[in-house]
Amino acid sequence: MLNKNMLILLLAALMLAGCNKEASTDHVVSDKSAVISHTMKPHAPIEMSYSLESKAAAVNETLAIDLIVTANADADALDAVLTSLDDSLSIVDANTRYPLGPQHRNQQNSIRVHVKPVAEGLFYLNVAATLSQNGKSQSRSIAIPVKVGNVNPAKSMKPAGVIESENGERIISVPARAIPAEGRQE
Amino acid sequence: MGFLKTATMFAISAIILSGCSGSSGGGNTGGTGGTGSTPLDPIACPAADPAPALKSCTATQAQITGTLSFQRVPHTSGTGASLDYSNQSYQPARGISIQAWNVATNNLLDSDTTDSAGNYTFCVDSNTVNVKLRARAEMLKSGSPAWNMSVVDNTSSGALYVAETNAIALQSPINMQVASGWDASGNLIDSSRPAAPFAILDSTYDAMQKVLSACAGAAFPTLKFNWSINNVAITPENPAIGHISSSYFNGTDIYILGMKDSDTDEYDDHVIIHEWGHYFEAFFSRADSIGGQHGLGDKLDIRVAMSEGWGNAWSGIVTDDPIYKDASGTNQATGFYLNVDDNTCATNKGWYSECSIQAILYDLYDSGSDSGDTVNLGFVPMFAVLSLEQRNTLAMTSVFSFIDPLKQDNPASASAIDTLVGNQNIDAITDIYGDSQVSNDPGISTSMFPIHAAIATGQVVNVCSTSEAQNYNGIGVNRFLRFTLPATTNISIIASKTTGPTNTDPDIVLHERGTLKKAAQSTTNNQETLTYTGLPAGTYVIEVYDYNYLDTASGTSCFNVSLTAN
Repeated sequence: MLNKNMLILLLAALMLAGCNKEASTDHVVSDKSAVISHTMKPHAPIEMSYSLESKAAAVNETLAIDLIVTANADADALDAVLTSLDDSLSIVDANTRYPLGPQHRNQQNSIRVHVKPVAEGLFYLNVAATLSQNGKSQSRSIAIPVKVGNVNPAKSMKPAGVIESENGERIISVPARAIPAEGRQE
Repeated sequence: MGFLKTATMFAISAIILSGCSGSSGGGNTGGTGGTGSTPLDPIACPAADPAPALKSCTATQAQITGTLSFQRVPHTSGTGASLDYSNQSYQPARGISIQAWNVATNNLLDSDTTDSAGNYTFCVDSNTVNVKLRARAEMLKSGSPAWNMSVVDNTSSGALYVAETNAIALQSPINMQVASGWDASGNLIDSSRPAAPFAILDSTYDAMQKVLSACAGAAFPTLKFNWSINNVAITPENPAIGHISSSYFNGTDIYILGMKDSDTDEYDDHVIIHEWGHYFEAFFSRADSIGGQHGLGDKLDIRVAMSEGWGNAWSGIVTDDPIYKDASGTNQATGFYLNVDDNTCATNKGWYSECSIQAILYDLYDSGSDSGDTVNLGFVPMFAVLSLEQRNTLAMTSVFSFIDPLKQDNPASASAIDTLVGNQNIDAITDIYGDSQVSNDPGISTSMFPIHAAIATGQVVNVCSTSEAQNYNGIGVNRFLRFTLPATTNISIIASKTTGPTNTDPDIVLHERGTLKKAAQSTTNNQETLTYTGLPAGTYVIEVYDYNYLDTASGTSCFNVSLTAN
């Protein structure tokens, strides 16, 4: 994450370099920490937070994850569905679908889920929550990363097949079909 | 999770860039309700260059023609939001950079850009034996109009996606198809999902065409989409390994979710266009939005409500389809939809409602006449206001700063526009600041008014920062005051607690046309001071908030805000 003061300096530089505006006294006086937010796509008014029983998950050992699903609005219903996004991470619990019922604003719902990894790597538990109001639904999905073993997260990603092109440019080549005149696929 | 101030900085970054992106020239200062303050240059809209001549090959060259297409996965019909793998179809890939390579020598033979039907023409050495074709996930155009849009992998150091054929004997035509990677039953048969980057660019092409309908020679600043099969919604973010909080625009780039069975957005054209709409705001218009989580039922900061309502409406405007769909979940078989032409906004109507804003903006555009909607301006008048008055407004950007000049520019529609906004529990808009809003909406407290309180040097005005709607970007967290200086002045702005929790943390930000002039964000309890030496004549907005309400604290803190000329 960018240091806030660095970002402010960057902004000031942009103002000076990009716009050539007078900015001699333009600055921010701040001693507070910050995180970054963006203009993101719309989703259901649901907040989700979680904590892992242990940050050092181990192969073939069950790990408990405590999930809190909060409705940020009154709702007729709130449902959460848990799925593993990796074959190497299984959900131990028989129940993976949680109908949480009608909600009032800021109502918190606690769910404890147990997962078991069968290999080292970075795996994901997906939480898809759907909130219904007046017959209309909105949803939101987040993923909970489960790091198993001493793995480099970058090495755990699905391979993208980066190659260097003829002129040294980094590209990811994906397949396409060439279809000649007679319609024969090459 | 700690909420931000850096979001404000990002918005400011976009504003600064916006301010730098226009062409030179004089022009209308735009906006109403104030004086002074240097306006931004107007967006340049020159005539489009003539269509290029058709490519013709020499006698020693062989011509290869063909069509580039990509496989799009549609959503289920009606209001279904899941992806429908059984109805995939190949569609022309428009405006895409495409190359022919000599397989034997690995030399580039020729390049072209596909036309609006996906067609291309290569002129290559007629002695070439085998060729391969490469479509680059980029749209490049110089001249007037001009653009540079591409799709890269943020988890592979920004490598560009390209689709490439196997070797094929020199002949013509050679068509090229990029498959989705999914079969008709929704099984993944190519994990690289080759068509995804081209689907993203296809939505972008549509968005650019809509802008060009109002500004034929528009110059689009460079934009990169960061998409990966590893991109998944996780905070804290780490884009290098695919951890992004959502699909979003960060002031320069767009990031798109891509992890299957969680949330993939490459075929969610409304999502792509929504985020592109934020890019449009940043460079062709202005958004003072501070971003953050949002949805239709939220009561939002006016800047956020306008920006997100715009994003939703824009997706309907570009596609001429008001049904916004966002697929997600296992097999992309769930998700949700929203209808930007639905004026009911049952849970939430008002100037702070993203739902109300999207309904108003879409009704201004569309030719349909649903209940209370007799306006059909189309996009051109909307672009005119967005790119001039909204871009230069002295107020914080909101529905007020957009509707007021729109009415002035289109007086014949003013009454119908009043009706339109009235349907959303918004009083007739007659100024850029929201002073016209006299109704005490039952959904919010009276302390929210006035929306931009007027203050003059020597005065004290009491405002309250509250988390009652929601933290960070809820209506009432950030409060606005405005003032005009007739001449360069040394000023002090002090915010002192009058009521609220024992320890409040007021902060002050000074804006000029949405651009940060100065911010005071100390950790001192219950008081904040901002001084500015030699503040030029002009109209400014003071933003005051309790920092605690950016995060998870709840409550209401009221401050006396004084403005003093030193």
